Amino acid sequence: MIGTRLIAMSGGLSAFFLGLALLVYVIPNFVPEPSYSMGDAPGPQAFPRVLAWGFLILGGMDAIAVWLSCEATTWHKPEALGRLALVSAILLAALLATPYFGMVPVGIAMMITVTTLASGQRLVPSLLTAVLFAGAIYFIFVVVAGIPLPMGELWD
Amino acid sequence: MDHIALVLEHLSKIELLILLPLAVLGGMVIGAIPGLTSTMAVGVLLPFTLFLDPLTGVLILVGIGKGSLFGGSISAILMNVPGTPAAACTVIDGYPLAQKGQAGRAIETALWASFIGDLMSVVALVLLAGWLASFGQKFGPKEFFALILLSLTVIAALSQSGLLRGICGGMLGLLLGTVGLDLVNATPRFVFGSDNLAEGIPFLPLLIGLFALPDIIEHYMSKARDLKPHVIDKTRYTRADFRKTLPTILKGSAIGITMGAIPGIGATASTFISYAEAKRSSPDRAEFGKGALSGVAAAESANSGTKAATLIPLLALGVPGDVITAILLGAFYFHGLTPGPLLFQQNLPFIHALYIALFVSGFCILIFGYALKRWMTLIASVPRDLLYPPIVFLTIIGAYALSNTMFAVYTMFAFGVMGILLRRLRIPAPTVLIGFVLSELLEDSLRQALLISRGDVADLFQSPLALGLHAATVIVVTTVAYRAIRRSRFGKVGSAEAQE
Repeated sequence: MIGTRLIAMSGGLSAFFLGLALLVYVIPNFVPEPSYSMGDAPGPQAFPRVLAWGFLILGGMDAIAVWLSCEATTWHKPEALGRLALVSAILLAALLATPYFGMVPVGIAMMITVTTLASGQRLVPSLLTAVLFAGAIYFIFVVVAGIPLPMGELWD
Repeated sequence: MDHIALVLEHLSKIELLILLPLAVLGGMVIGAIPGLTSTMAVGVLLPFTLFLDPLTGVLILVGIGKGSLFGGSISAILMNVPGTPAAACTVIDGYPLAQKGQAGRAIETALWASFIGDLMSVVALVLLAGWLASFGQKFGPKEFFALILLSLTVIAALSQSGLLRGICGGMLGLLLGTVGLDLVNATPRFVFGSDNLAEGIPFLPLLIGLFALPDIIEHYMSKARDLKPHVIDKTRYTRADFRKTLPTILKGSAIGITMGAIPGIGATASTFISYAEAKRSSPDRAEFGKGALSGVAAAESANSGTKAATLIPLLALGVPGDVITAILLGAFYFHGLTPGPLLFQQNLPFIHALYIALFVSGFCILIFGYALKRWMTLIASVPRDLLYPPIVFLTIIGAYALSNTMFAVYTMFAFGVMGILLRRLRIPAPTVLIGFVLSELLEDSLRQALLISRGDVADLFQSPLALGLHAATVIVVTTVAYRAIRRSRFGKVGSAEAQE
């Protein structure tokens, strides 16, 4: 019960800790105040600080409100998380492979892999859809609009 | 005469004449396929519209949004699954009509209700936007600050996740909007040593990442099965039906216009209000939920009635009321146009051309609706498993095309992850986007106001207009908080009683 309630509180707690991190570490280190004065005008840190305090207060209030209301929620089932991991891995691999193999070949491979592995569709319609779609995109961008797509270091 | 010539010059562009009807048609198809949302479509296609002239680019996005509102009713009627959230109410009576073998009649009712709702909404836009823009000329920095604060609060308060998380989402958007070079002091903020972030977080990757990718990922997580739609029959929406449903359509359109003009309420809520009102005032109350034509008409006229009405605060004051108008605001900025009173002063021919094209797009819905009728079953049954991977590919290309760097693609995926996390944390992504779009305007207004008042915060409340807007913000927060507390108390009592 406490575990599910903590999951329900995670929205408020995330906002609270974001506010805390902003005030204690991120704003002082990554928003430098200018060395000169702009009179009475608020500096570059002012607005982010207001927001950080807002996260701290509202996030804390939300977490307390959820705790008091006994609101509980559940996380996804393991098989759904497995599918999420699979699709994420395919997309990540596509991202990492694009600079080496080029956007169009990687796009075709990604489309086929997602449709066959994650959706269980047959290979032939997946292959046809992927090749036709990627071909159309290549034609519109490279041939018609003249926008170069990354061709990949491998083919250079 | 010059003015008319300029308006005609805007409207006579060949790309507009071809692409606007195609956008409406595309929107209808997208809306008809469950799981493809207009937000996703507008977000994915936005990069491609940036290469066009401003009017065509903006109208393509509006056309997709308008088309998808009607398109959503197709799968609602044929499959019992709303194609868009705004069609959720159409399901209640639309699907029973299809089960009775009257799918054709239900679709035509939705079509006429959408058409009339849309036309009335454009009329309201024409009548009200100019007036509101002239009123907006009285706004100085502190009034704009108060207005944006009120808009963000209303949008956050009406989000389904509740006031606190809605505001947290809005603040997250505002925070993301501060990334990059501070324009007043020229100091970098949250850049973390990256040259790519010096110009701020790019709008498009953020938009696509937050709205397109999570929908697709959720589809694969839930592995929802595609449903088989009903076949369109030959039943028609007769003149007698039209006479019977017209009062409901007019009332629904008026509700849609009112709700659409208020930031944050949107199409979905307005359809339920319209449906409830139609049911309350109907002599055939018992028919509702079992296949009442008036039920379909009420829902569809209200959701289409919101469309052009959401442009009223956007065009007149530069304040977006929902995700689509936030995207449109981004599109306006990309094209070098700033919605608000100045747009009416400096680009009136553009505004008038936009009005005319909006009228035309309404007729496109009617024409394509009839033309597509026999194909609707086929469109609604397109398997999503084959559609989503090409959409992912399109998002990658779209993000890349804007800057020709892989950084935009990586940013898009990072925001995709954020979008999924936000859903898990129940923080509404639309408020993040609207906060992001309004961040610069809000901070600039605050800084200007404080600079004028020499740092005196009390001066923010000195003008009657600003004071009124701040008072409205306080009323909204108090009302929503009071209701939430009351609901949680009654909820506890109710659950305790149920346990007993």
